[in-house]
Amino acid sequence: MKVRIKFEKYGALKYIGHLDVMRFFQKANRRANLPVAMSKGYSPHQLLTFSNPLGLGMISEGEYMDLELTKDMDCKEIIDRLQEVMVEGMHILDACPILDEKQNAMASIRACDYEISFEEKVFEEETLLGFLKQEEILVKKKTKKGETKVNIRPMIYEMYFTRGNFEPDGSEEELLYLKLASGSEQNLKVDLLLETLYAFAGKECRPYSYHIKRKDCFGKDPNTQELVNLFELASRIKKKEEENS
Amino acid sequence: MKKLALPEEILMAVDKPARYIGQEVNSITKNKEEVDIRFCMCFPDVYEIGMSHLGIQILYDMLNQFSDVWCERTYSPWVDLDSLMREKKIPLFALESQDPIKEFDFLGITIQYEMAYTNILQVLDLSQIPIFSKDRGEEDPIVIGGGPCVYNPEPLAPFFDLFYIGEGETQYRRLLDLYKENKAQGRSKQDFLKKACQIPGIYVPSFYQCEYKEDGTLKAFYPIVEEAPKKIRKEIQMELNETYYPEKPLVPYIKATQDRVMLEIQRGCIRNCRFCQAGQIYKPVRERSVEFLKDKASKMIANTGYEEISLMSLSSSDYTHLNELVSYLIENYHEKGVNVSLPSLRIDAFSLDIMSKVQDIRKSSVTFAAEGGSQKIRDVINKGINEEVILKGCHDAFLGGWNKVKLYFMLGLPMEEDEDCKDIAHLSEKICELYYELIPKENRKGQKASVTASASFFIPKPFTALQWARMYPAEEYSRRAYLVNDEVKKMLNHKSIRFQWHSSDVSVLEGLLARGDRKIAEVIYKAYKKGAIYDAWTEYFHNEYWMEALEECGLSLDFYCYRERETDELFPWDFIDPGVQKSYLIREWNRARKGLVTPNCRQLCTNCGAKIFGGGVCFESKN
Repeated sequence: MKVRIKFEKYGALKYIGHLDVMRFFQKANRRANLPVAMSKGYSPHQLLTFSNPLGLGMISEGEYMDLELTKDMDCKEIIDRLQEVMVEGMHILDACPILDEKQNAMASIRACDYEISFEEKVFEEETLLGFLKQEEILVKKKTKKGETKVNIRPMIYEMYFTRGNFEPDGSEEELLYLKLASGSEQNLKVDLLLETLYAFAGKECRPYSYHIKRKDCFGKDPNTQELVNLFELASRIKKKEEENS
Repeated sequence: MKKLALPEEILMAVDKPARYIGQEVNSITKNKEEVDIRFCMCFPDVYEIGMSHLGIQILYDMLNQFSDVWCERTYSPWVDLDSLMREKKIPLFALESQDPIKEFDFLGITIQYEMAYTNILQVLDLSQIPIFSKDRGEEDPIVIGGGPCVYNPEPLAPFFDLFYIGEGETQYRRLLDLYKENKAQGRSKQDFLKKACQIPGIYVPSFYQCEYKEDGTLKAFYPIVEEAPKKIRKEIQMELNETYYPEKPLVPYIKATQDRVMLEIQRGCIRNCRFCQAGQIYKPVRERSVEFLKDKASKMIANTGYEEISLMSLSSSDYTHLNELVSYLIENYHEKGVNVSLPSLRIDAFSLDIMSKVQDIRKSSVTFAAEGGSQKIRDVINKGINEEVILKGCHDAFLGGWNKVKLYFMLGLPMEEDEDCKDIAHLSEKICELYYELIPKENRKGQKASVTASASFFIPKPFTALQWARMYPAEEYSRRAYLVNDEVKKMLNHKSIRFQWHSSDVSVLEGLLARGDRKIAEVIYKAYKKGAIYDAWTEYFHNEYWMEALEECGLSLDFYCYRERETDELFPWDFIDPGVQKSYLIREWNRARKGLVTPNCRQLCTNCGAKIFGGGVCFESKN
């Protein structure tokens, strides 16, 4: 059985890097006594994959881990057992079976959405609209051969101001919502976008003047091509198979 | 959300911020309003090293079982954070609460190796606690030192309020009760220390005075308050099956040096190697029962999720029930992907069989701590191993599929001559020849023999049979290392032999600190002030700071390191009673120089003095 687990990471744990989060879950899975399938060989490792790495210093309420289990388990039990062995700053949100066993959290990603909390208000609504009105937003990107210019405008799917709590125990504040292309085909980093926005607005981008939270990760529904979060994606693919059979 | 002592711009600017945030799996948070005593346990080296230390895990677990105590941890900030904390005047904090350590009741520092001494000063300094004990006030924490280096605490005497000599399980409760009582009565720190120094194993250095002879050696060492005892006997936990042992050890987020469950199977060693300090100060050997170990192993694996368990002891092969324990662990955990590792194992048919079950033979190597290249030297140090045993072990290993051999040696041992050094090359060569003789070309799978010989330089340590021996200047150590290196190059199979050696400057300094007296404290302080920290890390070690400090203090390596000491000399550490008697050590020193081997504790009791503790190997029935 293959399961997808959704979890959040916040507070001081934003200083734990991606590789250490992987190591953390390998141990957590053992503490929870989950029957995770192992690879063969002298140094067997657990068969698990993660959604694309979250940058150091970012918090998230939509991280994913895919697990291969040697026997079927009730998802509620998986959630309970894992949550039991979590630490402050790591919280299991949900679990569901992945119906198409070939699907994998890392490879499926096409987009991610984020909320940005600013230390102080820098951008007005009009600035944002003006920024998005541009047909092309060219930024320099380093490649093996040197520098090229890339148009990032098509990689910005959504961008607007909203209100909400940034950390689970924080108070309500104004946040910038972003939905950006992510994954192996097209990838736009939040920092690069914000740098470009600061430059567009003629403002200085000082270090640590904003904080990033990833809200969720999305893949494409194979039937409709619409973006759905990885949790929904785990079940959607089944439909197509049913139609074919 | 938990507050952090360091702001985001610092945590994002330093290497591995996870070192400083705490919140590890199995770490303990209490309400500080509900405890009487706040204790901070410190390992004065970087987090990944400190988190790998079993002793702190045991004491952390023990102290937190006391409902009136909250024990937290701290480690040396790495050099990047060190300079930022100094610049921004941020006080060093404990990981759990992130509160400044200067607000605590106790700061306990474990002192595991001499080259961490300047890091102790770093920790005090960054904590904004006065470095010298005499400058501390009533509000400052009481600074306690423990660990193997406190068997000669004198070079560190002025920096500590008290030292706990011996194993931590026995007297902490008493010490803490005394502290609470003293505080409740509104008495001073000095009052507390006067009572504390009457607890067995507790040494309050400010209550003692040294007098020196004209030649610089110690003339007299005595207490100057009537409460303080003349001699201090080490503390020892004789019953290792009914004592504290963590079932939920801490699990760090970042990879620690020991990234595995540590299971201490016994304390002490029967072998009586004459250079080894651990072998003497942890006497007598006490084993934990197999039942105890099986129970703890399964709980620790379940509570940590580690993929490896390591059996800890000075000499695992001497543990009576090793076969039963290892078979149990392999049977119950190997299938679940939990590896068993056995450091300090003697190579024989039994251990090779175990190793072939738990390791990938192609990647692993067999290790021999031969220590001496020649039999003469191995007899001087009483290393109960001879060439025949090493070659037999290699023979079995090669037939079992191994092709890599690691050999550990010491250079600069007493009685060592150039020929003894060269024998390191000769022994390595013999092992290579054995491989090529034994394994026909078609069975080698393209693999050559691979012998790695590593040499460190001998450092005489207090309470060993070689505590009277001299050291040599760094250049002489280098000469001997090159002698071996040149000899290796002359060997037929030199392409299969790799020889490497440690830095000789550091070895000399380690020797200085190991057998130093109170006068050395000023040298440590001056070296620290010049910038010495992380001396155990080659890239941060600056020999010149130490040489300048020595000169400014008018002290010399000739006196502390390069002279053979007389057997009637009073040593700075002689006021400590580790059970083992000086008369026994003198007997062993004389036998060493005659190249006479002494049997191990299971073969024959040689009346070292450890019998006084009334248990362990000294009282095993001998037929």
